[in-house]
Amino acid sequence: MLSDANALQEVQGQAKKKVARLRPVDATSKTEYYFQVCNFEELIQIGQSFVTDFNNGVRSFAISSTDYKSSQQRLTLALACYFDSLYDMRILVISDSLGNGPYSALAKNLKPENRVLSNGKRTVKVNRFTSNIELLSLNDLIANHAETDGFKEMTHDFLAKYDAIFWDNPTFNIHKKDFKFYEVIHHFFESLTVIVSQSTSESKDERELVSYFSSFGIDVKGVEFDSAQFKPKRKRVKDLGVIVK
Amino acid sequence: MKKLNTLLHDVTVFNFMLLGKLCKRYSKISTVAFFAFCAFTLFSYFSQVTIHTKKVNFKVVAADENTNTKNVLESLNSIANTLINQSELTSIVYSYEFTNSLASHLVALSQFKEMDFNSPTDRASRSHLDYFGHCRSVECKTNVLRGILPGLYKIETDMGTGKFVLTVMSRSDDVTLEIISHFQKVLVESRLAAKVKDVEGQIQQAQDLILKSRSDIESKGGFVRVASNESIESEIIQQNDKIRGILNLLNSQVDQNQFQKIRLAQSGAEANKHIDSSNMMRAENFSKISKQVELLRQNIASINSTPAEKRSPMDNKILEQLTKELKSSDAELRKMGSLSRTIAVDDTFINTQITNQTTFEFDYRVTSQKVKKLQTEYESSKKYLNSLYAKRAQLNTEFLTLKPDLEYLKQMEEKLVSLKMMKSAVKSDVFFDNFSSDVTLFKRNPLWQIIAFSLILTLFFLFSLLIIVYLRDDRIYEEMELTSCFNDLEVIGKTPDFD
Repeated sequence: MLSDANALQEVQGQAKKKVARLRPVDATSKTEYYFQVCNFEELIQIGQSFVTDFNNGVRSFAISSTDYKSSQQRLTLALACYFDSLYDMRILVISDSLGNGPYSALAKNLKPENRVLSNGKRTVKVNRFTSNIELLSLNDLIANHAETDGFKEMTHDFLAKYDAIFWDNPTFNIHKKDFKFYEVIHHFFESLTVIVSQSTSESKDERELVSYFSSFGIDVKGVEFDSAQFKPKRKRVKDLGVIVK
Repeated sequence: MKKLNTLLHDVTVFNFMLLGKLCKRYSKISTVAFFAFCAFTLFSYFSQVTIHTKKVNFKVVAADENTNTKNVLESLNSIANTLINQSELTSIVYSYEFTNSLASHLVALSQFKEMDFNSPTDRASRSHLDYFGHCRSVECKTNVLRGILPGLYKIETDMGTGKFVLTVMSRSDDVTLEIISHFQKVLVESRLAAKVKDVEGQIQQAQDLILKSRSDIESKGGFVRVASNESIESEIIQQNDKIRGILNLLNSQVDQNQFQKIRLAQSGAEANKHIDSSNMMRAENFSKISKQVELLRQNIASINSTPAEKRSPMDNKILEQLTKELKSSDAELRKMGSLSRTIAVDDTFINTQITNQTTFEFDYRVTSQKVKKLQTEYESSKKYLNSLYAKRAQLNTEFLTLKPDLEYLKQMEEKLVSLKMMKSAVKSDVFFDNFSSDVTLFKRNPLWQIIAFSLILTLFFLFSLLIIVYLRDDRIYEEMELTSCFNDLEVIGKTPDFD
């Protein structure tokens, strides 16, 4: 995924060793899919911030915004890849829209797998992206099991199998429409990062968002600016996967 | 409130950095403001009226520099000979009388209908008919123009030269030049009339004071005393002249009397002298022979007057006989000598003195009487003169109380004369320079002023609008707004983006 290997060397010497692990699951495949990150330095900075939190014991990172889904997806995907490049760990990305945005380009290469939950009766379908990164649909997780007794414990046990979990939350506007539906997962958030779009986001909306999640005792880690508006519009050549060279 | 605080700065009051950012942030507003600035500048400059202006300097001199009656004025305290200042001059040139007079001059011009009296400072333009169309009389036009004119000229003071500067501004050369020309005439006439009026007022005042003073003096009997004094003075002079004449005559008579007294005494002494009889005989004989000699010489001369060739022999014989007799008589006289001649003279003199002595005595007595009479007359005149002096002294004492009134009256009469002289010699105290600038054309506001004004105005409205929009805008643009919104949240960075 990282476009500038030299820059990567400067940041983390050991990361290079683990970059090789970010290959398609199918070892026989000769194709390497990748996205190039424009603002590489920003990713390093953000990634280090999350790594610091991770080292401090935080392992469940939620990403949310008022209405910037694409940025949420890019951030979760990039962070997952960044963590994967640094550590040999199991990473789960939970998103409410795996069929949209950057995930949609990866859809045909994902390998769905059923995982049995702790009670042994229920299963959940995860999509393996790399050997360490798995993608899970939030709606699947909630819709199928929210009504189940012991959902909280069951989900907790399931998530405990992963070293790091990145939550691509539904946008807050969607959240507000059906917050009871999504409320059940708030207990699993240990950190929340809010994405703000410069010159678009309004203060009162952001305050409402932060206030809402804070009311559940979630530690709001910080704010990130949506960089989409600063990027020059270029034709995307290929977005079939995320590869760190 | 937080946003409002971000707009303020400790040093510069306004946070101009932020205002600059707001200009970039709300670029549409900035662009509109820029075009508004350009449009306003161009419109303001090109919509201005071209002003035709001309300046002329003039001075107002003091009265004593302007008239030939300086010495007269110096004696007067109340004549206003001071310079008028700008405020006084301004009140004059904007007065009803002045503007009315100037307007009537301009209305009387043949080209009046073509003249543009629109104010050069107004953008609006009115035609001649708009101004004067409703007027049927000259007075109406004058009244209308009187209201317009004060806006077309102004008076300033040139600090360098101390002169006044008349500046006339209009929308055409003709109007400017005509106003300048007639302004000069009207101002000169106005000042002249004012000065004449001032002097006339003072004349009237002086006349009133003189009348009052005369009345006061008369009530105290001052003029009667003055007449008496003058009469006494006249009498004293006459009496002095008379005494002087008496003295002269007396002196001459005394001299004459002395002479006559001495002559009478001397004549009496001479008349008493005696001569010897023998000497008397010789003196008589001497006299007789002298008379003969004289007679002979006359006869000889008579004969000699006839030419010798025309004389008869008888004449020659008589001449010869007479010549002989003359020689013998001369010889005889020479023998008698000088004594005989002296005795003859003395005798004659004594006889004469005896004859004249009575006359001398009479003359002496007459002159003595004259001297006595003159002495008596001198004494009486002297006595009368002393009485006149006493009267005059008494009057002078009485005059001491009237002296201030009389002196005041005298001064006032002198002043009245001076004022009347000044009235005939008074001239206007306003002098315009012969050299003045040409008519110059300019816009009321130069381009740089309009640009500066437009810029300030535009920036004011731009900043005001930006601040309003900024305060009402709840969107988050940069970290500053984010930190002001979430004080305790960290800004991590920007989301990664993919090519």
